[in-house]
Parts: sequence; C-alpha cells; structure tokens
Amino acid sequence: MDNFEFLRNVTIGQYFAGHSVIHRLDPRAKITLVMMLVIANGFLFSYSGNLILLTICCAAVLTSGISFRFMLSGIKPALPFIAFLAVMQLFFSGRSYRPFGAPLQIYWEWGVLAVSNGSLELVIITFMRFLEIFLLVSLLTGTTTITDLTYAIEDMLRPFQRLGVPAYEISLIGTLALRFVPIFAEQLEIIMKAQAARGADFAGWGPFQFVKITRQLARLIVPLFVDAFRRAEDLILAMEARCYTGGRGRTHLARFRMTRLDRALLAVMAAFVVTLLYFRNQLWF
Amino acid sequence: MERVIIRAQDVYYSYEPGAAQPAWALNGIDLEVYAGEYLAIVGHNGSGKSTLARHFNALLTPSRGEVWVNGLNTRDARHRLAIRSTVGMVFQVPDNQIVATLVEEDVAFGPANLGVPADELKRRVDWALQVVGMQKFRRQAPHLLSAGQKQRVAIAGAIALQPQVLVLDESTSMLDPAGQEEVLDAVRRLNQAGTTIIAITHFMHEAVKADRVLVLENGRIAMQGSPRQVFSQRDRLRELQLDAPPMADLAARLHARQPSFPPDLLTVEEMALEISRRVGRRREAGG
Amino acid sequence: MDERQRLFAQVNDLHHTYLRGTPLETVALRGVSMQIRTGEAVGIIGRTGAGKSTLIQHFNGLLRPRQPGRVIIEGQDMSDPTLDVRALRQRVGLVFQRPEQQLFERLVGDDIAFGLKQLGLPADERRARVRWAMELVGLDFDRFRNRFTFSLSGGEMRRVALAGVLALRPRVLILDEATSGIDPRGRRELLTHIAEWRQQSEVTLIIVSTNMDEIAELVERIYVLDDGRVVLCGTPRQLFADPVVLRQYGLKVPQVSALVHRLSELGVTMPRVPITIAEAADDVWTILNS
Repeated sequence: MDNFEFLRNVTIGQYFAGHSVIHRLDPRAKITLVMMLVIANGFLFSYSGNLILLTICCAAVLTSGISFRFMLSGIKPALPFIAFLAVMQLFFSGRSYRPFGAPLQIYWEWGVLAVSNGSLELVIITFMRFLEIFLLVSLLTGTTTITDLTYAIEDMLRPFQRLGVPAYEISLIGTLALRFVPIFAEQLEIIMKAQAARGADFAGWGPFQFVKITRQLARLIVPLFVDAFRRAEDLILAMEARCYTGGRGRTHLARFRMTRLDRALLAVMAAFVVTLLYFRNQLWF
Repeated sequence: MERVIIRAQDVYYSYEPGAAQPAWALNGIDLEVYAGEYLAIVGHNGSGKSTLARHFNALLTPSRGEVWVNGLNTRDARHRLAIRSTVGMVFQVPDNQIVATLVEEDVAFGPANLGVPADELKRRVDWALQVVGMQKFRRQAPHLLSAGQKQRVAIAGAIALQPQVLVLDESTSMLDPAGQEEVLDAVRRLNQAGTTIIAITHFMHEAVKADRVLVLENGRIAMQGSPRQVFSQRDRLRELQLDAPPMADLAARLHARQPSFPPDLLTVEEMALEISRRVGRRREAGG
Repeated sequence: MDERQRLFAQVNDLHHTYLRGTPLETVALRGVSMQIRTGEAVGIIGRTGAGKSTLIQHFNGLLRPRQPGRVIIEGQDMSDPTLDVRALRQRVGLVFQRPEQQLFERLVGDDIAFGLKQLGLPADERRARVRWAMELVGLDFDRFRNRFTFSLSGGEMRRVALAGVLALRPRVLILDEATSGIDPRGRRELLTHIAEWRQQSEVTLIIVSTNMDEIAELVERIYVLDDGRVVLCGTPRQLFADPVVLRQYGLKVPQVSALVHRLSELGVTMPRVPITIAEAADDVWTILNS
C-alpha cells in the first residue's frame, strides 16, 4: 500500500500485440467463433469431445504466437480453488456422476465418500472444460484490443436496436468505464497521497484491522465520488454540446471489414460445431 | 456591416429561479456577436462568463430575455440540434470531454450523433484532425496524450460538426505554456479560415490578441471594446479586480510619468519598438 | 547549527521510475541533484511531465529514493526504513494540485482538524490551531467552521484545504501547482496568504509551477527541470535573461523580462533584467531620460 501505484493492477485482459492470423481476424468473427466454441464446450462431457476442443484451443494459441506460459500464468491465482473443487468432486461425486459411455465402477468408498471412475472423470473433464474456456477468453482478449472488442460488440448488437436493445448505450458504458478507470485510479492515488501528506497512515493494512481500514476507505471514497460526479456532469454537458441524443439514428465510422478468411472460418467452425454436437453421444470415450 | 450571428437581448439567468431572492448569475446582458470575429470574454470567477457561454449553444436558456443563434431562438427545443451544430464548445478539463477510447472515434462522435453517413464521417474526421494537427494520433488512445493534445482532440471533435462559431470555455486554463500555445495556434487558424471564436479566458495574453474584449462583472458587461480600448483603462480594471496585461500596465505607468508616452500599448513588440524609437531620437538629438 | 541542519534537503543523483517492470514503465527522474537551504524560497519549474511532482514527493517521504540516488531531508536519510515518516510529514507540509478536490469531511472544521487528530493533539489545542489556520487563509472561524465542506465555493474550498496543511504548523511548505486553474484574483489572494504566513514564521517554501510570473516575486532561486533532469538553476533575474533557452524547455519568461531581450535585439541595453512591472517602469524611465 505504501507504494501507491494502483495503475499497476489495472491490466484487464492483457493484450499482446502481434501480426498472427488470429490477430488479423475481424473481431466480430473472433467473438462469434469463441461463442460457438463455448456453446460446444457446454454440451461436451466426453474425454474425446474435450480432447478435440482442447486441441483446437491449443492450436489457436500456437497460431497466435502468444506464449503459452504467459497465458497459463493467469491461472495461478485460481489454482487453490481448482484444487479444492477437484478434491470435493473426487470424493463426493463418486456415486452420483455417471461416466460417459462406461459403467460406474467404484474404486474406494468410506461412508458418504466414494471415489469412482465417475468422479475421476468429473474432475478431469471439469478441468479440461475450464482450461478450454480460459484459453479461449485469454486468446480473445490477447489478440484483440479492448477498444476493438467494445466496438465489435456494439456492431453486433446494433441489428437488435430495432427490438429495443440499446446497443450504443451499452457500448458507451463499456467505453466510458475503460476511459475512466485509469483516471480514477490516478485520482485515488492523489487523494491517498494528499491524506498521507497530512499524517494518514496507510501502511500496515493487516487482515484484522477492519475498523481502521473502513474508516480510511470512507475518507477516500468521498472525494473520489465527488470527483466522479463532477466528471459525469462535465461529460454530460460535453456530450449534449455535441448533439448526443441517445443511440437512435446514430451512424458510425466503418471500422471492421470481414474478409473471405473470416467468412470461411465462421462457416467451417459452424459446420464443425454442429457436427460435433450432433454426434456427441456417438463419440468413443 | 458585419452579420450578427449570436444575439443576446436583456438576458437574466439564475441557477435557482424558484427561490424567493434568486441570485442572478446574469444580470441583464445585451450582446451581439459578429460573424468571423475573435471575441474574448474576461472576468474573475463568478462573474458569469461560463454561464453566458452556455447560453450560446442552448445548454442553458435565459430565465428572462432571449438569445438567438442565426435567428433561431434558443428557447425553442426544436432548434436545439441546429443551434448546437452552429455553435461548438470546448470545455476546461480535457479528460472530461473525450468520450471514446480512440481519437478518431471521439472526433466522429458529434457528426455521428447527427446521422452523418459513414464516408462523410471519415472525411470530416480527417479534416478536423488535420486542422488541429493531430492526424498522426488518429488511432491513439486518448489517455496517452498530453493535456494540450487532448484539448486539440476536443477542438477537433467540436469542429467536426462544422460549426460557424467555436466557444472555448477556459480551455487553456489547465495547460502549461507549451500546451496553451498549441491550442491557441489551432484556434487562430480556425479564426483565419472564418470561424467565429468566442474565448472565455482569464489569461490576459490571450485576450490581447482578440478583435473585441468583453469584461463581465456580477453578471453584467462592465467594459467592452477593442483590447487596446479596454486594457488601457488600468484603474477601471483594478476596480474590477482584474490585472491589465503587463505591457498595458507598464505603458500606463510610463504615461503617468510622461504624458507623451502612449498609454495603450499591448504587446512586448509594440513596447520594444516604441522605446527603441524614443531612445533613437534621443541619441540623434543628444548627439 | 551544524552544516546538515542548515540544509532542508539534499538530493544526489535521484532516479525514479513509475510502474517499474510493467509494460507501462515510465522514467520520471534521471539523476536529479539539488540543495535547498532552511528558510529559503525555491521554485521548481518545468513543463508538464518534467518530473516536478515526482521530485517533491521525495521531500516528505511519499516516494523513497532507490540506489544510487540519495535524499537527505533535515539531516535524515530517506532510504532508512525505520524513518518516522509521519513525524516528517508534520514538519513538511505538501499541498497538491486542486486541493479543493481532496476534501472529505462533512464540516469544514473537521476537515482542517484531520491532520491534527492524526497527531493525537487534544481537542482544545486542535481548536486553537484550526482557528489560527482559518484566520491565516481568510476564513472567519465562527462563520465557517460548521459549514458543509461541499457547500462552499471553489475558492473557499481551496482555502480550507490549505488551512488543513497549515494547521500542522509545518516548517516547510511545498505547493505542487497549487494555483493551476484559478483565476488571477484567486491566485493573487492565495499567494498573498502564503507570503503573509512566510513572514510570520521562518519557513522554507518550495513552489512547483509552470507559470513564471507567479513565482518570480516569491522565490529567491529557481530550478528548471526538463525530462527528469535539472537543466538550469539560478535566481529569477539570472534565468529570465535568456527567454530563448527557457522556451526550449517549454517555458515562458514574464513579459517584462522578454521586453529586455527584445530591446537588446533592437540595440537598446537595459541596466538589468526586471522581474516586476515596477522595476521595468523604473528602468525604462532611466533609459528614456539618460
């Protein structure tokens, strides 16, 4: 806390610049591809199904040129929870989880606990599915800037405006959050430093100093909120001065263009996922 | 005679109109802004400068009195978009005006709101960025820019609507000298190309370069005229708690000691030339 | 008094990097060295991004020096981890930019008393100091102490923030661009209060600014920072003699000083570099009548 550097922790979905095929895909295509794979992930419970998906994810990561190690380092903080969940699943789902395409075989039991090929499969499949989602999302944010993602989502939601979906407003919320989170982080730093300069003690925020931390937080939140409201007022004026009247009727700069590669990939992936899901119960193991 | 582009008639404004004793931020303003001029509005904080500025683009409407922009009354909500496309505004805090996470998207914000088609949009963004000298930064994220650069982006965003008037509400007060120069250069270029500029400022070095200066005090116009006319009245300015620009102050002091010395010099260049001329004459006379 | 105590601050080869080790790493200071004597009034100027704020945050321990840089404040080495930073901050007051945006208590009196509470002063002592500080900044104690902080005008809030630092009775006051964004009247009032306070007590004053005019009259010595380094140092009169060099660093000299430079280009030599309009009037008068 004594370091005061909050911007250090503001790395949402770390982006790695590059020129790979994946980087150059239309962001809207990328989002759609990821969505398709996530849907597939939701319905596949077999080893073979997940092996196929995992292979696709790993191949994509390799193509992007982003180091596996960087990507996987993001899992580290979650490992304790994953391990805990795995242990719970292993011992408590022995009797309830039916393994895919094979009869239930209990290896060990003791009262309520039971380890079986079912619970083992559950642990492994859960981990594989988690890994797939993790890789897909990291790949998406790793090869697409948040700005591009925001505009892509706006683009994709725009056709639904006719049905009352406020596409632009949603996108605006995202953009403003992105713009102002670093600004507020900086502002918070200044506020903390100003109070520290008057003798406030921010060092030693131990785990049990609830009262102290709460009181200090209150003193930080007030000026931060005042600042936020002031900025909001300014922003509203500026937007009105530039004729903002909501998302209806707005045009936009042409930002993305789908290439043949994008369309081809989308078609191939769609066909593949449909086939995979259709035959998911006929897979070998 | 020049065309009047904005007219304010007997304008009063209070932020609390319902109060028993409303405090008047604007206390009877009569004003005409001429097309193509560079008008500076000065006054200390609380004199009503910003309040007046916001009447020019219908962000505020008068409690009493009328304001017309190109003949359109600002009270009429139907004219609002037309008025705001005619009168653009740039505010004081650079960060609090920039909406998008990419420079070119922010510049496009205004015309996009009006439904300008995509190819025209791109053309306007290109043009606006070129006028302010920020084309290199079109794909940059705004938070990586300096304050002066951010203000230039804000100006580009305002002129993308192709307004006839640009109001700058203390747009240089948070910039360092280099940033101020960047912004003022861009504004001058716009004025030379025909855009009417209304600069709300408390910097005298900006106001001396204007065509006309208005001094506000307590919501009223206390002084009005060319920079030379206004700033040579040192005593009146002091009553209004304003500083005369340094050279005007110096000229006034020298004039007090020697009546033949012109009391209405404004710039370092004018002062230097006047002094060197007099020294030259003395040298010739003295031998 | 020994040599160490005659110096408020001694800075040797100070470096500072923000967000070291991340992709957003920026170097703010590249080897700054300077000395500030007790009781001096020093100006630190430079364009935005030159490193001014970073530098002064080392003077009250908000930032600590990294090897090989050394910072000695009031004889204490700032890299010493056992240093009592909070005691230091009572003696070295720092007012940030836009201090009115950092108020947080509901009542004016409480906000000003914040630092005093942190020091553990008893209630009557606190009240006395708050009264003293408020009077110093021109806020009537009885009228303002129970006002809501956020109901005040911008100028009043700024004075409350300043009072909050002055109440600690620091021996050193550092103003970090404290006048940015204020109108000339407000600025003049603020600087008058500062000058008054400085007359009352023998204090060290450090003013950080991008504006030459305002500090010209208040400080004895100026350090010019650019790109994390000290590039110029001297009295106002010495520095204002060369507007061309200062322009290179994104700074402007007061107009009266620029006048001298322009006159010398036209062949007229002035006796000295004036830093106030009064001085300029006297000098020009002399020239015109010699």
